[in-house]
Amino acid sequence: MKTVGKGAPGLRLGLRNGIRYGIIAGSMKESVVRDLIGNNLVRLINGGLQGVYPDPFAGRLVKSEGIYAVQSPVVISQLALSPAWQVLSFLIMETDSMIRLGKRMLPDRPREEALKLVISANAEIVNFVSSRLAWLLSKLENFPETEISPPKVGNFSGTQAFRIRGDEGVFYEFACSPQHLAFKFAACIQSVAA
Amino acid sequence: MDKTVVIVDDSKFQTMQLGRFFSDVLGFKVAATGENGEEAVEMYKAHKPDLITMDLTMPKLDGRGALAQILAEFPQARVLVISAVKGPLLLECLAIGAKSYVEKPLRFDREDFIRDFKATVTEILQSA
Repeated sequence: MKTVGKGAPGLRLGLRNGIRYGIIAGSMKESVVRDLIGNNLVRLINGGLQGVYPDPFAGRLVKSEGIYAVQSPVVISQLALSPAWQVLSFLIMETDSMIRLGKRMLPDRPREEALKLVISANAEIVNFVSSRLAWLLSKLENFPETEISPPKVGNFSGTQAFRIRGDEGVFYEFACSPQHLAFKFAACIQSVAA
Repeated sequence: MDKTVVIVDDSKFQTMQLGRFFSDVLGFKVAATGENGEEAVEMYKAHKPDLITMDLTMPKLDGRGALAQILAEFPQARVLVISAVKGPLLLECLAIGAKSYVEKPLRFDREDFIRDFKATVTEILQSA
C-alpha cells in the first residue's frame, strides 16, 4: 500500500493503473464490493472511535434512495484508491457536538484549541477507516498497490456540498445519547472503470 | 539525562496523545513535533533524538519517504512507525530500517496496549 503525499490523485490515477494492470475488466461486481464495505464499515468506524473517544457511540445505517448531500462547514474527507475501486469517506460532526466533546475531553484548553483538537481527532477516525478500507480493497482483488490520501478538512457548505448517489454510497449516523454527541459518516464507493 | 523523542504525525490530536505518553509515562523529553515528512527530516537533523515516531499517511512527504531520507543520512536512527496502514508498505518500512511498528488505533485506555508499547520502546532503545 502506498500513501499519497500531495493530495488525492482521484479517478484518473485509478483508471490509469486499472488499465495498465489489466484488472478492471475482471473486477468484482459493484454491488458485491459495496455490500462488503457497507457490512464492515460500522466495525471500522467503531475501531477508529475507540482510539480517540472514551464515550460509546451507537451507529445506525441510513438508507438513501436518491441523492445524499455531504453538507457542513467542517467536513473531513479522505480517499482510498485501488486500481479498480475508489472509496471517498466523509465524517461530518456538527459544531455543537464538537464543542461539547472539546469541553469534555480537554477541559483545560481554550475553546478554539479544543475545537481544533476535536477536528484532528475526527480526522484520525477517518484515517483509520480509510487505511483499513485500502487494505480491504487490496485483499478483494489480490492487488497490493492501493493508495490513500492524507485526510483533509474542508468547507462543504451551500454550493460546495458533495452529492452522492444513494446507490453508490453507504451512510451511517452515530450518536452518544448520554453526552448529546452525534456525527454522520458517508462513504462513496465507485468503480474507477465506470 | 532524559531520553529525547521527536513525534511526527499529521494529527495534532495524536501528537498530543503521544506527547503525553512519552513524557508522563515513559519519562522522555519531547524535543519537537512535526506534521509531515519534510518536517520529520528537518527535525531529526536538528535534534538527533534517541527516537523518532513516524506516521505514514502524511502530506508533503509521506512517512516512508521521510524514513528513507533519515536513514540514508543517519543509518543508526531509531525510527518507530506508528500508523493505521496495513499491508506491504509496513514490511517495506521495516525492510528499509524502521526499528518497529505500532498499529493505530492507539488504545491508551488499555493496560495491555501500554505494556506492549513500553516494551517496544525499551527494545528499540536497547538496539544498536
